[in-house]
Amino acid sequence: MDVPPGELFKITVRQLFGSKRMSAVLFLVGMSLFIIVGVLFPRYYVSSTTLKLQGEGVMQPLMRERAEMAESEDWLRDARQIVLSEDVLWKVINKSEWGDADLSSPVVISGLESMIRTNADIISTGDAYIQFIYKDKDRRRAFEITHNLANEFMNYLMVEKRKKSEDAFDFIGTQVDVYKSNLVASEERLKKFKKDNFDGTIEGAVTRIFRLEQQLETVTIDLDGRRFKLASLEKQAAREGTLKKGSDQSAAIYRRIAQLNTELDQMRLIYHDNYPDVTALQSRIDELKRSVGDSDEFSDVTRGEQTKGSQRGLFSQLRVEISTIKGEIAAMNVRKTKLQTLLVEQKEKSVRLRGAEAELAELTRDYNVNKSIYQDLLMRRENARVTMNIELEEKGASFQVVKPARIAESTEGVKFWMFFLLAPVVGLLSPILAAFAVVSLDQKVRYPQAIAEFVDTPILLTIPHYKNDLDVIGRRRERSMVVLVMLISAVVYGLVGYLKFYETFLIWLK
Amino acid sequence: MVKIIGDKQNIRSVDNFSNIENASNTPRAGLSNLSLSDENIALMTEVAEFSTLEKDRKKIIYPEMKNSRLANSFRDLRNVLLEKSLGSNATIMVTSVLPKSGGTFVAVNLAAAFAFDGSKTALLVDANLSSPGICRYFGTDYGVGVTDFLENKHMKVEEIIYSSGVKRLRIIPAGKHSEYTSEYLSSERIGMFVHTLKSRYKDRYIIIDAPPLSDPASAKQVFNLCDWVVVVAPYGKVGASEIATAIEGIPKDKLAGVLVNDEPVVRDFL
Repeated sequence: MDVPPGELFKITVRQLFGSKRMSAVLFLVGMSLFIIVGVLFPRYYVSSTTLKLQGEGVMQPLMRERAEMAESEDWLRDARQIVLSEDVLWKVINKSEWGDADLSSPVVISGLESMIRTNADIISTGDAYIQFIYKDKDRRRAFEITHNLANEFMNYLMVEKRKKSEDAFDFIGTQVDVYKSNLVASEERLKKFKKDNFDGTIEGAVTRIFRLEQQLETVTIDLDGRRFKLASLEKQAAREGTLKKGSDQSAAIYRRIAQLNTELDQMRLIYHDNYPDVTALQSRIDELKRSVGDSDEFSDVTRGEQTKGSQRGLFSQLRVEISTIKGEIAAMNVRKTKLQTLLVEQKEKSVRLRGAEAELAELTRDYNVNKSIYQDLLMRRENARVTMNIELEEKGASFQVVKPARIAESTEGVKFWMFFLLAPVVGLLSPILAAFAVVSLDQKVRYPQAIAEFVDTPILLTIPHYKNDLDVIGRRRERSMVVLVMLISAVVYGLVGYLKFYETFLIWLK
Repeated sequence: MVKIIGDKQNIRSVDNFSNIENASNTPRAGLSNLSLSDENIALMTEVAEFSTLEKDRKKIIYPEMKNSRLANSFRDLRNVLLEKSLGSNATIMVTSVLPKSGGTFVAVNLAAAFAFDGSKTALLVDANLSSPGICRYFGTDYGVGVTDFLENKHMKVEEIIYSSGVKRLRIIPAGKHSEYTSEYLSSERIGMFVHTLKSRYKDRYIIIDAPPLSDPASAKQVFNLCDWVVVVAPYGKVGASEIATAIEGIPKDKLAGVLVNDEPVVRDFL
């Protein structure tokens, strides 16, 4: 049932005053309970210490870009996980005083660990600050554990950072070795290849091929010219050869005629012309003369002697020339063949050189890559070495205790006096809240419109209570009881106040 | 202090008018054995009027009371009922959801509210036969009442009507016989009884203090006898659904309204 807020307020007030005694008792109970809570409320001593991430010390600017500074910010971020890890907590517990606690028992240890985890607070403030806070009912222990937490954190970090730089150095060292062997191997391969492929470059081969082709062309052209010349000379020589054969016959006849003439002359000296021998001889001569031509006389013989001489010169000259040209052609043919062989060889070589060039590029690239990585790694290794040395010398990033842990003088949190002051308010609130709870949760009708949804009826009225004298007497009794309860409340409050604050009050007076 | 009501009724003797307090405590024996002539009726005397103090003690409202809110709430109820009745008189049954919800208190004061008006009279009938309540307001020694009337066929209605101590308010007590209540309420004679009461005077409003609705046998038989039913629910003691269940049996046209009774008044506690 929905009751409007105004009506709910009225109903609550009615409930509150309608059960006055109950309200008074609730006041007393609420106030007392609150005071008891105040007394029992756990109070802790809190110690805290603040560390500052030392801005990488003096080394950072000096070693800029030379040393790989360990990243302390990461540690800062993970501080909580680090400090509250079992290893670190174990050390902290062992360094702190625990009275009679049996530290050899795992149950006790794990109990203490979880207690520290609950009570410790680690806050990273800003970029470089980290705060350790620990609360404990024992002020001495609060201090001790705070101090130990911070110390163990720093120790852990130092060891971890050292280990990290060493690991980094070792790792880079192995990488350097690996790349060094790679580099040496590729260098060897390159060297061997260069040795095996020493016969010139591809450009040289191409130039040579060009030149050889030119030469071959020249030789071919020359050879063609020579061949043509030979052919023409041989044709001429053939013609000259036929002519010479004819002239040689008549020359022999003439020579015979001349010989016979001589003989005839001699015989005439001795014999008459009519002598038979002389006549026979004469006829013989005539006959010979007829065979070579009637026109051919002695003059012809002389002329023939002259022609015969020039003819013989031309022919032999021709023959000499032919023979010379033939020799030349043979030589040229040899040269051409040689040139062709060379050209083929050169072409083969150029093909081979192209393959070798690709292989060389591959090998060179491999070599260069290895070389650059190796050089880079060498530099890194040197950086890592410096870092490691810095860490070993403890000159790297470190923490400075900005605010050391102190023993707390007073407890933190809600003080008893706050409870004490608030107790009457809580006392007042408890019957009000109780009344409100009753009227809100109880489904009984206190407001006639509440039944409108169930009952369709024109009249919904409220009849107020009829107060008379008898009521007043009853109320008076009730009122005196309320007063009694309030008096008890006041006494309780005063007594608690006296017991708790009397000494403080005296001190304050002085 | 003596008022003649134009009604044939039993006469209550009043020992001492000046001693009002005493009067309220005096046994008021109904003089039912006396037979009176009509002439005498005019001379009939009322019982002594209750003083305001007495009324306060008895928790009966009066027009000039300080707690006007209380008086007005009954006035409002009365006015609504008057409106509903359209000028003629009516029989109004007051019942409650649970016993001790203040049904009798409402019935008595509703009757008193009707009697505020000089032109109207009220007759309060105690029909709560098994545990009559009216006597707590008007004294205990009335003699015959409803049960006697229902028992005795020769008895006249006038014989059981008593003066109350409140002007223009008459009462009929439950009577001496309190057994077999449900049989009484279901008898034919009670119908006649109510009819007689209603029809006798047009300006008389009859208020019946009925048994609570939680008494299954008793209440429902009275529904038929009346014109309107007023249901009393105690403040903070009963849920809305319980109320709804309780009034289920009441004919819709007869249900005049539901009252939440005895709301605490903060001022009273201070």
